[in-house]
Amino acid sequence: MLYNDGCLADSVVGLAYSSTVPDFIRASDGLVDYVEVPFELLRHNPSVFDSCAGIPIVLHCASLSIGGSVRCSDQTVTEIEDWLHRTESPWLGEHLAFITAAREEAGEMLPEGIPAEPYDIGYTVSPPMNRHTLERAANNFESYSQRLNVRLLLENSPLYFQMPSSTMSQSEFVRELCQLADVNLLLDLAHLYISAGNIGFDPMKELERLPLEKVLEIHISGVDRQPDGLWDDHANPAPDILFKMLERVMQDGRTRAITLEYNWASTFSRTVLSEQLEKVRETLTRVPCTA
Amino acid sequence: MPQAVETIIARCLIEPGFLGKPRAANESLAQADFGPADLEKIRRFAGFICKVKHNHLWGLFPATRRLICHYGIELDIFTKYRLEHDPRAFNAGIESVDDRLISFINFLDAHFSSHGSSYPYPMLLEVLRHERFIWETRLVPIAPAVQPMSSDDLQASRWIDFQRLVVGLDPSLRLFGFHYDVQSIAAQLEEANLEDEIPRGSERVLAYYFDRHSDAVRVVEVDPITTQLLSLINGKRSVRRVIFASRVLGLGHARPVEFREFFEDAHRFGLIKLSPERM
Repeated sequence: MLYNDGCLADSVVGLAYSSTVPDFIRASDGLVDYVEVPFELLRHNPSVFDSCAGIPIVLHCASLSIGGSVRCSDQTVTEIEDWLHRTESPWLGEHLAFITAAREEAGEMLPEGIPAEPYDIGYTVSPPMNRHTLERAANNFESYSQRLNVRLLLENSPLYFQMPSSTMSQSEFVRELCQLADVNLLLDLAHLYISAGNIGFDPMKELERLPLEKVLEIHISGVDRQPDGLWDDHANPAPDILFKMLERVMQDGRTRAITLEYNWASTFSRTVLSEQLEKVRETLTRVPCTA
Repeated sequence: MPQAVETIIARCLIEPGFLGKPRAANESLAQADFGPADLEKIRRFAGFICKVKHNHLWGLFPATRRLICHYGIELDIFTKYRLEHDPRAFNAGIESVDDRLISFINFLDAHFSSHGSSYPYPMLLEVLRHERFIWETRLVPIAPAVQPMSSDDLQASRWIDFQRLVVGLDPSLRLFGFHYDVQSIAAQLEEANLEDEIPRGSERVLAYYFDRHSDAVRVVEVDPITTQLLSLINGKRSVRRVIFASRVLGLGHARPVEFREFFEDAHRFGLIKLSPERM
């Protein structure tokens, strides 16, 4: 059974959507329980919903700009709400990030003093980790949770450089945010590993600083190692350390779902995908989720 | 201050002109307490976002992508491309996917070409061009302007009538010379088994054309004589004039009737069309 009291039942494993994923899931004979689909993709191409017919959907999102100063448009929030209803997603995963920023602060105003449209980065960026952002993120979280009437999960964004005006680490920020609001987490293990490599900390030790009991969903994907640091990579299999991290999170956490994100290459090997799924299943068998 | 940081970062990430002017960008970043080295990191991050936003375009160029990844230079390429490409049109839904693809492929072609023989990855340009020809060949309008003769009618025609036929290239046909065996490289990349040393050889010409019967792009190697003959065909010349021109250009030892087999074979393969009318 996939759903249990409004949550996904224990130990479900899913795949992030790509055009080949629905057929792979149908042919996988129970190896995969659900597909994670971005709201932005459904909004742009609603036929993706039909292509996933018969497969439970978990909705993901990169539009709310929880960590930003510019509120998401009412129209977009309404559309997210609609897709939550249509997909019957048990929760909404959103990034702890900003995707838009106020343009007037760069001195750009339209004639007659009207503020210009905000900068739209089109990609989620981890915000400065300080008290100001913390309060703003908590307020945004409460506000969107109420409006959407669904459990909202916040995902840690990867850190590629030290953000100025940050006064706390990401784990401190997340822990305090969980105290300020009833936040549940989507822990992206690749993001955490990337941040550790780029900023310079031990990812296993950092796990101990996070409120693992708040983690409901986990993301796993690849990591691109470049001379200047580590980068997110959904086109290659995850390094082995991510499965050690998964095991550790599963020991203490209440994780309901693990999503493999291999959706950046339509040619991703089905054999490798099956191996990665088996590795997750193996880990889940070793450390059953009992919460 | 935190909002100002976000605004500056956002501007760096979406305005190519801003990132391309280190002084202006550095001054803004300095206001937000960024160090001088951070501009390069933000530039790379902008390249990374650009890379992610182009993931869906690689479906038509799988070997090119695999080769770029094999060399570990995907992020480098997108960081350079990002300085030219303005993401705002796409973010606003103004730029179409096709426009995006054309812009990106043109950039790659120019980028791989610009280094000349000093480029450490010479196979990239040829693999890109190979996949580009396949893609472009598929885009050519399918119906020929003039209905070509059937192969049976062609074989039955007398030599004197045959020579009066007008010969035109299939509208989808493209010819290009390669120094690497691009078909073999693409196959090796697909099997994740690329040889360590791939030698540069003498030029081989490949012909790309759309086979309407199988609804697929065909790629065949053509010999130098075929290449020369095809280069003389323009949709206006008759068979006789093409034969005359090729004999003048070095094939004088061959009797005119010996060329008939070439025209019939090329017609059967779909490389050329023969018709009583101009095309």
